[in-house]
Amino acid sequence: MSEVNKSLVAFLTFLAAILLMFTLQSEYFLTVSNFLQAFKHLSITAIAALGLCFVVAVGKADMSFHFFSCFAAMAMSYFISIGYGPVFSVLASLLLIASLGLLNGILVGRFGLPDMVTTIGTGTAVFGLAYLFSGGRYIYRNFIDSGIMQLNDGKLFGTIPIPVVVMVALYFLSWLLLHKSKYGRNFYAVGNKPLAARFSGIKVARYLAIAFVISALFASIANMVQVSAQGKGEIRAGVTLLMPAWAAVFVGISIFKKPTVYGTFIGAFMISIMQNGFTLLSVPFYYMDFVVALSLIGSIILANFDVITTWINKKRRG
Amino acid sequence: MQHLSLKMSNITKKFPGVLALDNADFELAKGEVHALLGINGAGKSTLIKVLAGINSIDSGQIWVDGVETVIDGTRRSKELGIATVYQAPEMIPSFSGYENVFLGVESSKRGLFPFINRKALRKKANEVLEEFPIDIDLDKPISDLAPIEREGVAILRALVLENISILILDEPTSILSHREAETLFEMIAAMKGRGVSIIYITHNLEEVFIVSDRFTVFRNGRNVGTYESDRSNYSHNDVAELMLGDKMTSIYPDKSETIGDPLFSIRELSHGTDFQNVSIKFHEREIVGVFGLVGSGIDELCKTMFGDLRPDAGQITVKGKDVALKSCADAINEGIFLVPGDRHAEGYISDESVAFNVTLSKLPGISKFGFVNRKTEKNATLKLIDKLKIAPGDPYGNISKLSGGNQQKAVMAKGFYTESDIYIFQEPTVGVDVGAKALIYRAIRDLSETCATMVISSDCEEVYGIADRIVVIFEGKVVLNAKTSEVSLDDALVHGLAGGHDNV
Repeated sequence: MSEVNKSLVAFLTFLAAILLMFTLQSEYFLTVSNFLQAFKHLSITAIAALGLCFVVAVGKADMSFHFFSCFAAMAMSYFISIGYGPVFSVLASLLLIASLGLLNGILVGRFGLPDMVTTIGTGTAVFGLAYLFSGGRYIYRNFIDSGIMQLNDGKLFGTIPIPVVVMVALYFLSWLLLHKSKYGRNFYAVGNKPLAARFSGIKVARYLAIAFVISALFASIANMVQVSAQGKGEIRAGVTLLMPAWAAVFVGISIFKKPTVYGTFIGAFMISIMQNGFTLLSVPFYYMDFVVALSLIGSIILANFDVITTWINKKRRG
Repeated sequence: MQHLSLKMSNITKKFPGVLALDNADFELAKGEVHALLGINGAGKSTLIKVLAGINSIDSGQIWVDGVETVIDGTRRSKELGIATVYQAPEMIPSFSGYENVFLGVESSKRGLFPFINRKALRKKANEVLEEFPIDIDLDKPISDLAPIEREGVAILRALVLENISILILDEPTSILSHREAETLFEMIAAMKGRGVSIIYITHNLEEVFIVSDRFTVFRNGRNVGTYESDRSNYSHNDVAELMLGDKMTSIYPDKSETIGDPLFSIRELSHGTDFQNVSIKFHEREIVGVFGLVGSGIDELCKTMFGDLRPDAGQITVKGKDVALKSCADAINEGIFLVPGDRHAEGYISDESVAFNVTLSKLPGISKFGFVNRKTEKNATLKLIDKLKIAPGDPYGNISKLSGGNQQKAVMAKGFYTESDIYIFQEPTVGVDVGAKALIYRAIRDLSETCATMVISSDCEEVYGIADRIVVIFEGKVVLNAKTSEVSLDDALVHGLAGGHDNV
């Protein structure tokens, strides 16, 4: 059995155990309506994680996408409050946030600034800017009447929630891009060895920039869904995306040994199902954070399992 | 050879699917320098790891200083006075030379308060250092030291062990320039004077005769013979034959007799203090060899010709057309390809397949509407695997698991797949065994039939052996540009070492 298969089996066993536990504890857990609800919730984490997956694939870290998503959601709410329609508001905000993502990409890719610190910096700055739309207050005006709430409440063919449709569409496109197209190769080459990628004729800075733009865009889409579910423009809504998104990407890496679209989805699914189950069991939210964070750390350990085993062996040998 | 420092007999070590050592014998006399030769996979590394206590043996006996012993761990190996200096010694760059020398000692101390007598160690390090031909400033951080000085620190670290009796040097010259290698040889002589027995692993046949008293050749996990290192009895080809096991003529292909059309030229190319006013013309059917020491500017010259550095002045001309290269991507578009010297950092993408790597520089070749066609990819890769005899020949095998020579061939295959007109091979055979070397030289020669090819290397013999025209660069300037047939190897070397002045 290959390494990947082993991790996959270990992971599926773990997931089955979680599902079984929740099913035994809550009779509501294994119902269609709960699963539709859970998938809606999943889509938010999953979309944000998918964007981050691109940045991790090019070997960088993005610590700004959750802050950026706050800016995008506030920009959207602002456009709606001053009378624009939902479609224009969403697209205009995405355009704004894409240019900010490009800024990240240029700073890290073109000027070679350190990714972590730079994105913490740009993220915090953009989060500060997001306060300009309303001074930090909720934006209610026009929100409920504008039709933006369809982004969360709407259903395709009367059954599939729009957030799930958006998630499936983005995952399909990303899968094509990262795993089926020639461009996907370049993302991985850049992330693996930027120097070798450059000498292979790949425009490294360009791929870094694209990854940061995608990360900012996808997190913003996730947060727009989240905000439209809440029925008001709230500035802090996106802040909570950071940890689950990182956790999802790393759970994926721990199974498939590299950041992948399908791995990220499985990671997001696991985290989301845990959050859903704990909510049904009325476990306080801070326990939830605790468990999700633990699974992040656990998966990082798993992802580096080879490194850790050699380290332990070395210790033993003295 | 009265007293044996080490005797290994009937050593067998199996790994899953591989018999790494097959009833191997090895003897090391007290105070000798013993070269250990063999192509990759011959069993030398396993033998070293057995001595270092990293690999345990399945069967066989080991005597150290005449006493039969079992080496069941790195600690035991240290107690026996065996020390190894690996190819890339583990050191902490920000620590000073002294601190790095002491690292090994500190980590071997046990107990609640592992105090060490730094003063005594310092004295000992200085004592040993005095016998060395170079003066290393051990108060400087490692990152400020030259490669040879780092090697020296690594050797000092082994020597301050109280009871050092056997020192293993694993390809010590692979990161050194020629002049530095000579310093190393003097260091080895100094150590020999202290009664240390040395096992010296190398790919370089010439070094065997310079540095060792005897040499042993390993092939397929067995000792195929131990010989006196006497140049008058054995030629390079004899030794290479022993390593490969079958008759081998010269590893270099025949020289070209005719020269074709001009394809590529650089005129008065300069880049800062790295190199100035370099002009070279490249033709079909002519391999141009550029020789220069590490630091002579040849690395920067390669990178400028490949668009990675911008020249301050000068002109690059491809097939009669002046080009301004802004990136490596530009260079590839113009039909120039560089097979870089540091294949681990610059050559291949690790933990991806051979096919992924081979096709990376021309992805449109395997894709339709932007999507990769696995079948086209596989066929294209198989063709090049076959052409360059990459082993194992699985296009979807992990490139990181290949041997150095096969990785290098895969990087070359990546270049071949672009079907460029101009190929630059930088240090094409570093860390590659003799068998793969011959194949690589053959492939370069075949390529030169239709392309302009350049081999740029700090190994003078290699440049001289493969090239039809030799260009020597010394301190950033061309000091020799002649047909290989019109100059001697010595002459070329002297130019590279001292710019042609014979005060070397």
